[in-house]
Amino acid sequence: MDFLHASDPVTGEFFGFSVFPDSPWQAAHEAEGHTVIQSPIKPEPRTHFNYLGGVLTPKIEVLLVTDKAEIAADGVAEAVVAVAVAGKEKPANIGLLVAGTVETLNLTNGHGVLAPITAETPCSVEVAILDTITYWGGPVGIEAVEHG
Amino acid sequence: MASIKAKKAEKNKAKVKKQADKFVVRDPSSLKAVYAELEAANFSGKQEAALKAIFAALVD
Repeated sequence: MDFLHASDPVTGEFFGFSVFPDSPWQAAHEAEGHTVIQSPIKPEPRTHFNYLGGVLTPKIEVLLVTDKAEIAADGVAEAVVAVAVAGKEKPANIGLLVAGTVETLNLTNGHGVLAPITAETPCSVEVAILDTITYWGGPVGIEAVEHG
Repeated sequence: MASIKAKKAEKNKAKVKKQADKFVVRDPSSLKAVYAELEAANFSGKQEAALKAIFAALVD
């Protein structure tokens, strides 16, 4: 059985697959300028693949772990997020989103630790991967709560 | 409507800054942040300007 794969030829983002040729799904993707090709492969889960270089490729897994899921919102308590990138070829750095702000973290053999996170007010802090086309994993959340 | 909702969600997001090799996060719409702004304004004598800025951020 063949499947249809839809991807962005520019970014390499993989949108998913269909089993129905000449369907509204195919027409919608082609109208967006996406590439739709036939393939015997059923790539699941969809979120773990990309079409970088025009080839179906598994995304690289990134593990985000925090030492504290909850901290006091007192500007003193800290949470630390550790990052580990899987695969044989380890990148020298990786882009992350810390509460929506871009941060580039240098890695050593695919591992790194973000600067400590503190909160001055109650809020939710999310640390996520910036490039979700090349990588998959996370995000990790830290809740800053009223102390005392 | 979607863009207005997105704008409101963006406004209510926590703000983050990096200082002394730490990420310091705060929610500018939280009461704690408002009190901190007012307290700082009392010392500098700029209460009116601070109040205007705070309420503009909250109601927009």
